[in-house]
Amino acid sequence: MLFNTIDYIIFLPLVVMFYYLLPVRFRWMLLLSASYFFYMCWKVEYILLIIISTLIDYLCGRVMGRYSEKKKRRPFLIISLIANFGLLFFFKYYNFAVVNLNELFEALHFTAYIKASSILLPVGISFYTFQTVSYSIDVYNGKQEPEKHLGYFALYVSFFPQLVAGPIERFSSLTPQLKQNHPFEWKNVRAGLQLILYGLFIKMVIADNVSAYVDKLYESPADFNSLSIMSGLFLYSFQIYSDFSGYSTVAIGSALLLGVHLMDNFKTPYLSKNIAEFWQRWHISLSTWFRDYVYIPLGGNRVGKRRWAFNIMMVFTLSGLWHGSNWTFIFWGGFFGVIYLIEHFFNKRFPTINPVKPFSVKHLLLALKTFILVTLIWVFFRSQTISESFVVLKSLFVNGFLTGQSLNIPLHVWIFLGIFIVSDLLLYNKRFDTWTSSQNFVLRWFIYALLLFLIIACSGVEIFQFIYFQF
Amino acid sequence: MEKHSFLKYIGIRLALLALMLFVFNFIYTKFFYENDLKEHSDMGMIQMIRNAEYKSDIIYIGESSDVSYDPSDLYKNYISQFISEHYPELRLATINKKAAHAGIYKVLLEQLPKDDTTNKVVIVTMNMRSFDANWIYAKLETPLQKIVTLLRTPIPLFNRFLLSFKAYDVKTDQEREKQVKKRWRNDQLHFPPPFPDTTVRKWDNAMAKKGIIDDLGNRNQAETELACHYIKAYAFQIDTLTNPRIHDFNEIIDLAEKRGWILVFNLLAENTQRAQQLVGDELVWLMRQNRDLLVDYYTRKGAIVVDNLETVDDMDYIDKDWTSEHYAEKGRIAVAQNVANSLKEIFPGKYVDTHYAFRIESHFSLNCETYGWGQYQTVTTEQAYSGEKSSKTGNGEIYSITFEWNINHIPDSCLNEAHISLRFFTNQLTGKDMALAMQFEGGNIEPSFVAVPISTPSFQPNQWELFEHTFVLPKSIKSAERIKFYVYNSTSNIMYVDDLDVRFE
Repeated sequence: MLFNTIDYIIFLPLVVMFYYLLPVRFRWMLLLSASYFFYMCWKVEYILLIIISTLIDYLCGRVMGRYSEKKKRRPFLIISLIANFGLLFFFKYYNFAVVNLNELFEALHFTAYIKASSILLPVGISFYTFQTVSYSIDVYNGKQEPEKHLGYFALYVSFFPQLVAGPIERFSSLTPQLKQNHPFEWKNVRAGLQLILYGLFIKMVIADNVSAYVDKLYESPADFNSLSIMSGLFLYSFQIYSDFSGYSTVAIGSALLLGVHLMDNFKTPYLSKNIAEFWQRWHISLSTWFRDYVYIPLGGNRVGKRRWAFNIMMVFTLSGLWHGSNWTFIFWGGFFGVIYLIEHFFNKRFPTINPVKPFSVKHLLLALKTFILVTLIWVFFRSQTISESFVVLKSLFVNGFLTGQSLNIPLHVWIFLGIFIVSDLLLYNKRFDTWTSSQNFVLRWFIYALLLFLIIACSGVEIFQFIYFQF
Repeated sequence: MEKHSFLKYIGIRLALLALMLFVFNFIYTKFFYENDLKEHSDMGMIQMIRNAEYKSDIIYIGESSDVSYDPSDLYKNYISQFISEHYPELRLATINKKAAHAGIYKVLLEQLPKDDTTNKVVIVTMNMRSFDANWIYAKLETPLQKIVTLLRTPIPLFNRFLLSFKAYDVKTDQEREKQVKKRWRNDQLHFPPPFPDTTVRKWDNAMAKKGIIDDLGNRNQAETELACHYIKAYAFQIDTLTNPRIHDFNEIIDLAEKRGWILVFNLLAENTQRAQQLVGDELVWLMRQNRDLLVDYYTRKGAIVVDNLETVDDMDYIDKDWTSEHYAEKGRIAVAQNVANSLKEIFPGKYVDTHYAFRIESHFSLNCETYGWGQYQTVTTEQAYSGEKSSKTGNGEIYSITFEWNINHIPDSCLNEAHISLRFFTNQLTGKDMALAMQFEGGNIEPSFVAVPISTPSFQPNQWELFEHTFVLPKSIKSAERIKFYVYNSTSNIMYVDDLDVRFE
């Protein structure tokens, strides 16, 4: 069930209504049933994966809780990690490994051939796997008491607003809220509705209108003039941003209707002054996951320079691999790592004394630089193969500026994008619900009216899947 | 907040929201709806529905079978036009859309005004293959459903809301393919005699394995593939309880009852001869069983079902390597004849016999009142020089009603010059962007065209004007297959075209 469908428009109010009508002790049952139903709308069988993952982590957590020594807990952490990453590997990376192994065999003139699997990637597997793994590691490290109630634990793994595309929540943050008695509070409902409205706007009006032109560009990038390629890359930067942050915003809004606060996943990332800041503002729940469960265990920055650089590259490469089983994603992560390191050493060599004021000329120039770099790196994210990425980049610089095929992006797409960029600037370090609530009644309702009208009348209708569902 | 004041607070906002939606609907209908219809739907078809309103005695609704013709046909008329020629006193309107089926027809027919009191006969194309999984789950279904969604209710904003939030049967190509394959795998075929292949999948595999062997004992791969294709297209048995198409036709019957229409289902011809030749008696047995079921089922429901299943001879099917209901002229004439016969009792004394001499002609004219030539979707009742209709060009509709003829069907002695005359109506002439074009296609030459700007010595805006031009035909004309004449208007200015007359000398 997608957020931008009539099914969800019916499903969500029903869940919210029954949620507040039910006594607190039964609410977890409602939310768990709703979450499983939500997931089964994609493919019924794959609910088994969530159930298996839930049971393994629940049991491992309970057993680890019995021991005070880490040494005794370790085997159960290993079981949990093998089970979770094993499932993830099988469904997500098996074919990638097989293809590469077969190529290697061929290069070495071996006759062996491994058959690829035709099983579809279960939606959201990367998200809920990371969520359950974080729980197991926290229990192992003694940071988290094991959950005794299987129902609440299952709900933590499968809470529908963030089940298939995050934000990736921590147990310590989400589960206490799920257990809490949330009386009906209008301020939560209002904020939730505001976020859903804005999330749907940026997904349906921005991302879905832009996607057709980006797809057109990537069908035959070499045929387009460089102005069109530039425009297409620019559009993709906003497509991926509006698509993913749109999902997160609706997820946060939906949870808020139930009184649950999810973490913010995006904070105007394209106004970041450098790549380090970009990753503090983009897919925050994933960045913090990698920080806490990969970067810090590897030693973080309390190691030598070389080791630290290795840690950084490791985090970014793994982050790339998390996104997809393709060399393009590994390159994508790797490029971020390299630029991160370059910027770090440059900033160390030429430190800025005064802090950069928001929206100062310096801030805007730095943000522009970051945006251009990120836009170029997105080429690897969007391309199907590494060679396609290089074709796009080569065509950008080699093709004539105006000679050649043009993308012919209509005016209304630029207008929608303009509205989004203005709103993003206004929301710098703010969230849509808090910003809107601080406006006067007339302006607030004008914004609601505009967004509602655009969602209904101007949504793109050709492509509407969320990009991050493939991860 | 107290309960009372909270309810008031919510009430005010709900009222404001309702008012907002009312205003939105007005704005959307006024400024956006037509564009959406153009972009996501099919303006030609919408235009057909609008033209069909009020002024017709017979409405013919169908898919590509109606309009397809063989390039070598002397008569390129639609099936509906052939029917119309049997009833010259009656007005017949056509609505057609490629790959459409009863689910789409129902929604289109619902668009006809409810207050129209004309006693209408509605002829609905019934394509047997549309009852098959292959068509039910066809890839074209998603775009068709978009059209239906935009027309679903009388509130355009609500329709757009449904489209935006995907409240229609929207699936990816892969999902559709999966649905079809599942049916091929699971649907059991019940034959009276013992027949081993009880599913499409088994039958298809068996045919692919066995293959079609020619007289020399060699496997004919092309014929084998075609046989497999015939199995996939026709090996099914209609279940009146579960087949969605049955449900759609039932809804059309309900709609007709409400509107007081007389319903005629035109069960199209299928190539049973080829099916028999390629696959065998079992497949034809299934086709006939489905035919009998449909005729019986819908006759009992009060519709007139015209059984055309075996009307068209193998040689009159245009597509030789595919299953289709696209007939050459003799096939279309035969189907139309059967439908026309079924209307005799409804319109006593109105029927006339027609005779089509397959002769060579050199003089043609069209006043947009009847069907048959290309770009018929441009025909409108907004303006007319003669009769009630003309062809509307401009503002995105670049080509006018188009004359198209096979060059072999023009006497050689008349292939020196083409004298064209037409009437046009516009507020402004813009030079070469409004032109009369002559185009050659097919045969051994590359498509090419010549255009002359439309102008008159004393042009009067918004008056019907006469434009005449003589094209000298090139010597290489015999190398081409077809010749076309049409008005080309790439401007945003509207130009109406009527009484197009083409004379070869």
